[in-house]
Amino acid sequence: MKENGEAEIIEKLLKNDEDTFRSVIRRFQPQMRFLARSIAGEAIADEIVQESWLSMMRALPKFEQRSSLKTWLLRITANEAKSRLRRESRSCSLEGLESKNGPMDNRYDSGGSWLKAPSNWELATPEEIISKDQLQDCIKLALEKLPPLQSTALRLKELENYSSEEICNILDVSASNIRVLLHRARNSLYETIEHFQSTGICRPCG
Amino acid sequence: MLTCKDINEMAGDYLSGDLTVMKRISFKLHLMVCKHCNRYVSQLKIALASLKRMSGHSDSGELCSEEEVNKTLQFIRDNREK
Ligand SMILES: [Zn+2]
Repeated sequence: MKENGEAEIIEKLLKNDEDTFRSVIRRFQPQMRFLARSIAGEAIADEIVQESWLSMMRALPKFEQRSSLKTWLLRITANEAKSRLRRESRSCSLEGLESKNGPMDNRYDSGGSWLKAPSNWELATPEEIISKDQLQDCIKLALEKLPPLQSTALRLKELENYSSEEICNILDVSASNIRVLLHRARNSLYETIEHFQSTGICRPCG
Repeated sequence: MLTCKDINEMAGDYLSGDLTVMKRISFKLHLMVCKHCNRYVSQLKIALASLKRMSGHSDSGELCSEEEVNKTLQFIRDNREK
């Protein structure tokens, strides 16, 4: 999604035009912050955004405009957030793709038929689900406990309506990996709600 | 014929309208004959809709305040070319 006039905007940025800088920050910083917070958490989101602007300044002369300015900025932000996380918590996995099995895989037999069929949800509409505070907290907790790139891919796709292609670009993951990230995140969410509905207990890790 | 596990893997793309026409047809055929998958897919839809409701409208669609713009601009000025 290339917008008209981006070449002109970039030219002005290279010339340090303050008004252009202001409008670019105004437009894109909220999305950068959303992304930084989703990957690395609220506490360091602002720092990541600021560092991302510096990285952007350094990379600007080499920006080839193969993607839109927005996608490019978000990709820089995601990179900044990922490297920050890698530095600070080496043990935790960003993607959570080490295991061959994802959530719900054990619910099917080797022929792909249901072993443990889905239970019927008593709270059967979004309104009923979110009216229950404990369940809402449980869903939030489940998202927090997901590997950061899984929850971020899910948020970008389901809340921000990005296409899978854009998400690949922003998070710098392959098309097949983005499928697995989204698939696992959705199934974790599903099983968290299912488990709460049948037991009243929050067990976010499935 | 798709297996129930295939349905699980395709459900997200089905709900977001990203399946090809042929895949969509096979997906729907399976749902017509399999009540478990039917239940899974409709409950997944509810799960995702709940997530949307919870987040309300995201802050990412908004513009940022002048104060924040100034802060970022100042930060860039202070730190570039070091
Ligand atoms: Zn089935």
